[in-house]
Amino acid sequence: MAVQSKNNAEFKKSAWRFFLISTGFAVVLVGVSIVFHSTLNFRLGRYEDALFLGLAWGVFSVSQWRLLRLSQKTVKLLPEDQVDANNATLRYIFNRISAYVQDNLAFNNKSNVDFSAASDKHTIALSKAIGVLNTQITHLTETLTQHNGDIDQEFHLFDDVATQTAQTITQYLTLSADIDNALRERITQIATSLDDLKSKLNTLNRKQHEALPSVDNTQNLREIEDIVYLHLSIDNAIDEQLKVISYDTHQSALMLLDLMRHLSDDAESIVKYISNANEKNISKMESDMENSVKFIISIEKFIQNIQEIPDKLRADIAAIQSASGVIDSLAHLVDSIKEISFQTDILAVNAAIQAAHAGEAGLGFKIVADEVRKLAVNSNNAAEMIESGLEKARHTIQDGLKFKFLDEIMLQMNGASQVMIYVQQLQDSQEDMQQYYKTLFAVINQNNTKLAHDISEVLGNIQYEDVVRQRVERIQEVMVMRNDLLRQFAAQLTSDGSAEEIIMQLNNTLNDYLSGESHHNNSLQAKDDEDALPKFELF
Amino acid sequence: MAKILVIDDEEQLRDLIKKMLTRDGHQVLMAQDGEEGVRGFHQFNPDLIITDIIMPNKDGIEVIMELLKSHPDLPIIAISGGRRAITAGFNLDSAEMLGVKGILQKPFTHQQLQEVIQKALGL
Repeated sequence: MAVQSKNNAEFKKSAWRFFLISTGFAVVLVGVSIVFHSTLNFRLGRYEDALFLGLAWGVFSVSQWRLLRLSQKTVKLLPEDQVDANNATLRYIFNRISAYVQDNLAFNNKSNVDFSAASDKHTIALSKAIGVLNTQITHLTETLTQHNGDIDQEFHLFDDVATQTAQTITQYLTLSADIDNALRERITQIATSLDDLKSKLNTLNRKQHEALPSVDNTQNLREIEDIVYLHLSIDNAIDEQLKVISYDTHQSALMLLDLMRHLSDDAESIVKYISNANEKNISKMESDMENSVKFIISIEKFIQNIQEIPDKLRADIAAIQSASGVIDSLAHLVDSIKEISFQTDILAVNAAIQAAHAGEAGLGFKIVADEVRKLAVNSNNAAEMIESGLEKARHTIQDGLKFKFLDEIMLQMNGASQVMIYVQQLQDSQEDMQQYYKTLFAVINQNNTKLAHDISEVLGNIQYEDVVRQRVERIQEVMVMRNDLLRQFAAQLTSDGSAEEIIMQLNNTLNDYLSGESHHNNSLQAKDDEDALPKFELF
Repeated sequence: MAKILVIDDEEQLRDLIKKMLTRDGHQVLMAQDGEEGVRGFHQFNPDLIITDIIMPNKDGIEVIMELLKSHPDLPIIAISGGRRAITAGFNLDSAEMLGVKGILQKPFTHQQLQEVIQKALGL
């Protein structure tokens, strides 16, 4: 392929060089002709030469140009495996063309000299004759307007001059006819040369295309031209799409990076936020909750105390009653002791009286009676002391119980006054907790919405990658179809069949592809216009 | 000078902020809770909002979310702290996460308030 490209480039270069040289030569030729003729003050015929030469040059140039075009096309469309052989053929063609051009140049040089010589001689004579005629006409006009001479003589003179001039004109016209004939001959020669060249080219083309179909060359070239044009059009369409895909992919990648950065930042923010909320605030809340629990335990204890009061009171009252009962029963015993002491005392007094009546015999008995009386008195004293002691004991018990109960009540009352503070603190803590979780959930929810938005953007872009894939697949499809058609065409070149059907199919392939792409072209732009939510539409 | 809406349920602090802002030449509107604050915003269209976080009826977080949803570029300054706000830092972090332009922990000085307002208004 590289060899072919190089050969093509060399060929084009030499072709252009040849074309420019021949064109330049033709321009110089025409220019010289115009300059040469314009040096003479002779109106009739000087542009005719130029016109003829120009015409000749035009025909020559057009034919050269056409040949150049045809040769270029021929080279372009040659199969790769025949590049070298065909390049050799083309070199041969161009050698022939070069030889033809050289012939032409030689002919032009030669005929140009002849033209100039003939033209010079006759145009000078004609110029002189017309100059004489012009003088004579002036003279005649003066004579007629001024009536200062012999008019008849003047007319005769004028007639002679006019006759001479007419002869000169006739001679010139004859010469012009000669020149014209020479030019015609020259043109005929050019045409013959061209036909010859064309014939040679056709022969060469046939040789060149021996391995290729022997179809009508013009038709074949036109079809090749059409197919090449369509081929290039498909390549251009694909190239346009590839540019769009490349740009869109780049933009999409940048956008994706940006979105991922946002997503990462948002995720990092929420993690940091939750981490801070946990570290700083949860510990505060836990401590607060701990305090609240302590308050609750305190309150529970207090409630237990309140519940304990009646039982304790009952037990205390029962103890007091029991103690009082014991004291009362002891008091009765004391009274019994007192009564026994009293009776003993009376008995002792009576015994003493009876002992006195007995005289000496009763003396010892009197001593016993006195001792018994002393015992009775002592027993009474002891009973009184017990009674006094019991009374004191009862008072002591009652007073003791009373003080303990009041202390309990006081303590419990103090606890009750604390309850209000504890309840308020608990309520505050609960409100703080509620506020904390409400705020936390609101922020996390808001951030999750943002994250969801970011993620959907990312998904949208990832979906765009799928669109790119589908675009590339469409390109692959059209390339497969195009290559298939080109293979068909290559196969057809060896036969006499027309490529019209293939051209039509190639054209349809191009149109279908362009039409298909026009529906998907603005997918990225359309995506921007839409909401950021992903649309999983298949393209 | 800006038109500023102050939303705070503590009257004393509200009055203090008003004094500070009025001295700086701002036009001050006041609301005592979130609901009144949102109404005030729609009615007066202020340039800047200073809102407390913990408030009855509608708290500062709700106010911030509602207003920023409809006016994403609205400059809002969140303030928090005081007697019961054991989670003032957390509340201000939350406000910042929601997109407020400035935060200020109570108690604050006049200078601190001026600085945060200038930053929020982009001055």
